[in-house]
Amino acid sequence: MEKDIAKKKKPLWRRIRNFFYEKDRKVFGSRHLAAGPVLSKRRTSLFIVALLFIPIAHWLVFWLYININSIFLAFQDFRTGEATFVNFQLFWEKLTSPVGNEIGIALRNTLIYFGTTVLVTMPLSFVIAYFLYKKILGHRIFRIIFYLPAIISGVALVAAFKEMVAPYGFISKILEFFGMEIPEGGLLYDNTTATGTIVVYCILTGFTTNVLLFSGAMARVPQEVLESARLEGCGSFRELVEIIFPLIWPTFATQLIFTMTGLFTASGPIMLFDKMNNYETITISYWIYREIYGTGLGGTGNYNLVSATGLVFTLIGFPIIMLTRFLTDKVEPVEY
Amino acid sequence: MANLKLKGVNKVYPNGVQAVFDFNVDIKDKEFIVFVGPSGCGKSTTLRMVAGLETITSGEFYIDGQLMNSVEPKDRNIAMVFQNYALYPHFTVYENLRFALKLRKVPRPIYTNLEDPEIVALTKENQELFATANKYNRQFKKKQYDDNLLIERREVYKKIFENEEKLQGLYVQAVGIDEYSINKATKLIAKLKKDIAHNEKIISRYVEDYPEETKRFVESNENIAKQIKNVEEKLEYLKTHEVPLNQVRHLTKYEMDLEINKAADSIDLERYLYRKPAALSGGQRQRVALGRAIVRKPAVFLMDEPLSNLDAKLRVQTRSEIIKIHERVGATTIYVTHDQTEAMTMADRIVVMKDGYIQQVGAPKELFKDPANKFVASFIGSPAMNFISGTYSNGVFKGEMKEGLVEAVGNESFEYEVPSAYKAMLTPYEGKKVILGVRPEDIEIKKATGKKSGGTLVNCDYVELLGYDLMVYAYILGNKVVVKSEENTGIAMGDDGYITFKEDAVYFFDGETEQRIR
Repeated sequence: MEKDIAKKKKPLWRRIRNFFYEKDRKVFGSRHLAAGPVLSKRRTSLFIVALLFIPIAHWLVFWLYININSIFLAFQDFRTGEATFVNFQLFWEKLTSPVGNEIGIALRNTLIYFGTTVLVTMPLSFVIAYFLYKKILGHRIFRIIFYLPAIISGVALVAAFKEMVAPYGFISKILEFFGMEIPEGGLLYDNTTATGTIVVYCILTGFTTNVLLFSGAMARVPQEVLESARLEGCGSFRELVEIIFPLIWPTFATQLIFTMTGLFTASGPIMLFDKMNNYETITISYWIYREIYGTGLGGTGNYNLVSATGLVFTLIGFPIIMLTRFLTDKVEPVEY
Repeated sequence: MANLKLKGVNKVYPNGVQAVFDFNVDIKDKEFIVFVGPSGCGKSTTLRMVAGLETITSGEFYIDGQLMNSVEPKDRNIAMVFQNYALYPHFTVYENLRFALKLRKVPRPIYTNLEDPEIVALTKENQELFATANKYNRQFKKKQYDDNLLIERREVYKKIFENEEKLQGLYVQAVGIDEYSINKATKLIAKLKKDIAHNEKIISRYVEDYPEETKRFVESNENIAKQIKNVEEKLEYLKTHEVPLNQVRHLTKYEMDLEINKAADSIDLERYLYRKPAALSGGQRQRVALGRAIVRKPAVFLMDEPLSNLDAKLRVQTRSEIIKIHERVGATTIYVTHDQTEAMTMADRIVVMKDGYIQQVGAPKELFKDPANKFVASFIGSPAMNFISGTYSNGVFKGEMKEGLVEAVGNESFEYEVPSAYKAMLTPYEGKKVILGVRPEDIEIKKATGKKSGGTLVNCDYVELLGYDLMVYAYILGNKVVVKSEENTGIAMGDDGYITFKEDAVYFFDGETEQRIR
């Protein structure tokens, strides 16, 4: 009885402390002998849990919960909250409507941005990284030019680019010289040229990450291998395609898969170029943003429609990404 | 044919460090020459300048009389074997060997009698055999450990090679005016004239301010003029005489396959043809590197310490393989190593280098018997030559304590009665510092039995039994003296012994310059 009374009288902090030191006490007879290689498993566990708690909590709340919730929202009616497929019907109508076909236009533009990234920006970055790696004449200046977009503020870059493509800007003048007709308000103020102009901006500012990654991978290629190829008569193009590319394939494949995950989220800085979407520049990600937040921009605040849209594109995109991964894994990585 | 000439070659890096100073060597056709020296002596740099992987700062490099300074590495007809093998890691062995063959165009004879029934029959048979070989190759890619498959495959290729030999005997090569060679010679003459004009511009601009430096451009122009004359003579001959005609083209898949299999067979690589370098051992990778060089049939082989990464036993084995390859292929070979044993066993001639300078060039025996200076004497020969510093006076060499020592280790004094054959050459060194050198195998040692014997009494610090040989280590005035004796000498660690030098086997070097006194 006295023991029970003694136990109850111990403060909470002491009981917690004893909980973690209990094993040591039993082994060594005193908690002061707990220092050394034998640590309480409980203490180790507590350390790991404490370290991982915040990232896991963050993931649970801001990814898992949100994504699960959005799946539920996709199947709920906007007004009544009843389970329904109406959001998917609405999505299909918006996609296929001949008039005001916003999702269709957004999808088209998104695929243009995505295609440009995969088919233009990535290969160009690879070639640029190769020439920087080979230290061509002026490579230091080129390196600065290609890395500047990552350093300068996007707003400043967009403002400068807008000036360049304005009717009085030098890009417009050069294009006029080559016989192209510049729209009255400028390249950004016409349905036929606005998206293309923003795509060009994205290409010019999109090299940095890829160039950095590819340059780093190329630096690992043994110099003797390249010298041996040079002695055997290998030119620059063949060296790039038959030696460098296979050796840095894991880096390229990783970057390709990473880019593929942006299949339906690819976009440019639409908000800075064409906030009101007056010139058919909208992309899916911008459409989603506008639907939720842009009540002044024509948005409806319809979370359910947006969730349904996201779910549809996820179901389409997921197998494509997995297929890409499967195909890139077919190529064995090389040890060197 | 490939006679190489390096004339006054210097290499200065952009940071101002000079790695090679005034390198002059003539290398004959089919010669196996070894550049040997300690790390950092400039041997690899010189090799890389020959390959074209480094630019030559000043001086000239010729192959068969043709100036090669500004010729691209791929156009020099040179194959190189690197220390780290430099295999393409993503290619199989087969693809590694094929890569160079795929890239270049080679002259292939034009035959006139391809419709001969016998030739047609043999060619058809070879095509069928090649198809069979390809079938075996596809299976072999999957089952590389199947010995039966390997044997069957080998038999097919053996038959193909036999048929090819028969075909070579039957073919009749076309003869006529060789337009391709005429064009090539004309272009070469134009290029050389351009080089002369360029040099003359430099001479005219700088001759007043830098007369000495412009001399080499004048010499270069003279050499280029000689080269132009040779090419013009050849051009004249080609224009007026009919010669066997060749077509410069890429090899066909069949031709490449034959060359690869021939090379693989010669260095025992058939079994590994479809493996990647990561799945090979060090020795196998080195053979692939050699095979890759052989398959190109170059005029010059360059080897940059190819055996450094191999274990001792494999090194000995691969060394003999390299010599056999050299004899079979017949290409001029420049071999770089820091191992004097490799140099001595493999070379027709050795170039000993130190700190960017050539110390001596000569046959292995010449370097061993007649070293030019102390460095060459110490570098060549294993174990290394023993040295004792001292002064010469009245026909007697008197040893001095080794520099840096406060107290003598071993004998505290040493005197050596110089043989009469050396006295004449040492006369100018009366009272001056000289260095006595003697090889371990030229020293005799007898165990001290209590009775006084001729020679110098030393105490054996350490002995090593190496089978038949006994290495005895002693100290004289702090200088380590190694004696190579026979194992039945009976001398052990701590024993006293009398050492004598063979009369005609001692060397003397100038105490200041370390040059050999002759």
